[in-house]
Amino acid sequence: MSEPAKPDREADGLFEIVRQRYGDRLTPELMEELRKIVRAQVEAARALRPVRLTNADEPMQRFAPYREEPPLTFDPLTFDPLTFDPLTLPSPQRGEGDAP
Amino acid sequence: MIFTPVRELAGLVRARKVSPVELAELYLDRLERLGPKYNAVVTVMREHALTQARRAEGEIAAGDYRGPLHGIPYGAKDLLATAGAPTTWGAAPYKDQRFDFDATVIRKLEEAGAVLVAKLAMIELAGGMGYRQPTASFTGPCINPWDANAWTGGSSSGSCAAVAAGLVPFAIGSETWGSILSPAGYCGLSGLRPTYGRVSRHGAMALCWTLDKLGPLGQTADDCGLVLDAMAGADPRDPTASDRPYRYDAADRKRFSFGVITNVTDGCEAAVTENFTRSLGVLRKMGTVEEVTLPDLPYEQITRTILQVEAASAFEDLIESGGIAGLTAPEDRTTPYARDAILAKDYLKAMRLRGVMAREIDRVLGRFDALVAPGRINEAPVLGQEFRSAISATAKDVMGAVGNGAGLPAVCVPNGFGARGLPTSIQLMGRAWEENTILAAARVYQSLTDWHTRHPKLG
Repeated sequence: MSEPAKPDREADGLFEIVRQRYGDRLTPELMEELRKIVRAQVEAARALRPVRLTNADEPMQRFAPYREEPPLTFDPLTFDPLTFDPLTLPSPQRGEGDAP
Repeated sequence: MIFTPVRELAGLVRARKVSPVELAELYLDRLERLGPKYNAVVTVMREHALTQARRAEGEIAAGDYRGPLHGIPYGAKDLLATAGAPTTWGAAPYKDQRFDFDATVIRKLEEAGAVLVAKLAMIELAGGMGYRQPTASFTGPCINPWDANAWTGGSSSGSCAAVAAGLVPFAIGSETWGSILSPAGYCGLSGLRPTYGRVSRHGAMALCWTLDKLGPLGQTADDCGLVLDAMAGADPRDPTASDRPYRYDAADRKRFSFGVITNVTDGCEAAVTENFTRSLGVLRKMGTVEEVTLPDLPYEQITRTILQVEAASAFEDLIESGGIAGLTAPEDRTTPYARDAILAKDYLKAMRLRGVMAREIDRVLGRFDALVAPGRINEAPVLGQEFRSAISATAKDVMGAVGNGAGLPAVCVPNGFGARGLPTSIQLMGRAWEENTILAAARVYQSLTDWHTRHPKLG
């Protein structure tokens, strides 16, 4: 039989959030398994935290301001290449046509 | 015919020695007859496929040949939206889900003339809920064509089973962490994980927005290049799809430089280590092989933290509503709850460290054409058993953590067999956007070995 894990105040505190939110859906056995998973997550975080970063080390994700553009209305009879503005090209977004 | 590489099939189709309709009929018959044996198929697209095949046949007869995928059947992992068929994401709560549009990859392959014959089985929600067993799919565990008691690996399980069993000439899979390379390795296939952003994700199930990649599975590395050529490219519907042009370059190249991470075979089964050592001998005939040490960073914790948080957010509704109770694997019904306990600051720390990791690995890879490692640490797991613990992965996977966390391309090819007679593999990982380099190396490797020409005995 394995020894009970030593108390870990941070992991136990974070597990309390999980217990508060979802405890009514879980058996004691599943709660204990989730407690171990939370501890593993905290251990992973503890591996990340000591690594020193500079102020210039930004998260590696790109954000771009968004502006919806009007749909392209193309009429070959009135199209004038001299006045055509490419900024009015349509900008279809992810999720367009998603299932309801 | 059934294990003929795409390039050779294309030659037969172009010369009109084989018709696209005949090909479609051949593979549709195999999908319907043998697909259930492997739990590999969700939906056979018979009518759709024959319509596409007849169109291809007419176009080719009229001299309008589009390229090497014209008239070639393929299967798609069932996380790619297709109008006219369910898109189940491998998960019971979504088994009746339908979309009214095609994913960009499906559309691009149609434009190349490929014929979609089947939607293929997968681990539920691409494994993002923390699954630990082969049964984690509402269509049942995918059975490895090499051994009825072995799993295919996941999460692109059906894609790999179908190619390995000759049910399709090639298939599309996806990888967030390991979902192309793992099953490709376990099934003795060639699988390509492209650079993040090389292929549009529009219409693909989102598991982790910053990690998800779509890629091909085939009999050869060359086939993977041919398919990537059709899949790649910018897409206004996916802002992360790169506008860097890509054309597959199949030109021969003679000399390569390879790096091997120190102790990369730690934790591997003996046969995996033995086969990898033999593979290094082949690679030395192709160029140089040098041991390299990576900077000390928490690679696996970086990528795992990002994966867990993004997956929990992507499926927030399903998790918080309790809908995960409808998933098949018991662990998938509860594990995601724990992710509420990951702090935002730790996620952002992982995202900041990801930049450090990406720069460090690029610096290392700048000296080599590829880093090489065993594709997997083991042969395919046995059906009916958990293949990892609830708390941690079975063994370290630095290549997977770095490759996926930094969005780097990798190709996996077979390199032998293990103690149970199942395939083992080698992976070659390159700098960002260097698919052509690693594919060239994999092609030369395959020209010097014959592992990719061996196929399972199908009953």
